[in-house]
Amino acid sequence: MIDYVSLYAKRLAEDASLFRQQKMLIDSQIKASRQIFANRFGTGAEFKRNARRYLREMGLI
Amino acid sequence: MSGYVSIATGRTRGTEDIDVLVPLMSRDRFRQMFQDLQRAGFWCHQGDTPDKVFEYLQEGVSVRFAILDQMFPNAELIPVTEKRKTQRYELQHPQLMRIDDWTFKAAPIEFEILYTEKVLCGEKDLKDARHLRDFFKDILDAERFDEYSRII
Repeated sequence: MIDYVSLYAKRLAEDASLFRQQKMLIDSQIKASRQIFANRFGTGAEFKRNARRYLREMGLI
Repeated sequence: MSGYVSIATGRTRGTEDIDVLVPLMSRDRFRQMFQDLQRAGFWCHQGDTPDKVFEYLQEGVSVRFAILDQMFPNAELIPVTEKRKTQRYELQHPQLMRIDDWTFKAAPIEFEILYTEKVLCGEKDLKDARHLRDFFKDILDAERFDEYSRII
């Protein structure tokens, strides 16, 4: 069975250009997350108010 | 900063947060940092006033900062108290890491690997450790593994 974690780590160490894919993945995650929470909580003071209410309900603050 | 180090070196997985160890600090010092973060465009999950948020840290409870209008990713500031012996060691023995013009401090790679394998132990964590072992195989130091094994 191929260990993709090891395979990718070794390839990255040899070829730094593969980091471009990594950056695309992280950027897409951040963009999606930003949109989801903007849709749900709004922006500015409204965002903070709604976000904290959500965090309290989840027992996270 | 276990997850962050593996992701910063190419591990292909997402993360919701970055762990940041912070030493115990005075209220004034924390207020300064809090206001600097606000000016830089961050908000704190726990509140908008530094004095209120400082109480969390005094009780050894982490607080989180994220970019305005975002939840994730966020920085979890973990206060390093006397009880947190492993984190205290990490804080006192950092390794400087540089990615282009961004420099930050993390625990030595060998320490990160051992902590991930012995303490965190989840499937995701073990994959992170494997990634670090393979990516840094040319520079890992066996003596450091021995030394850190005794601490962890």
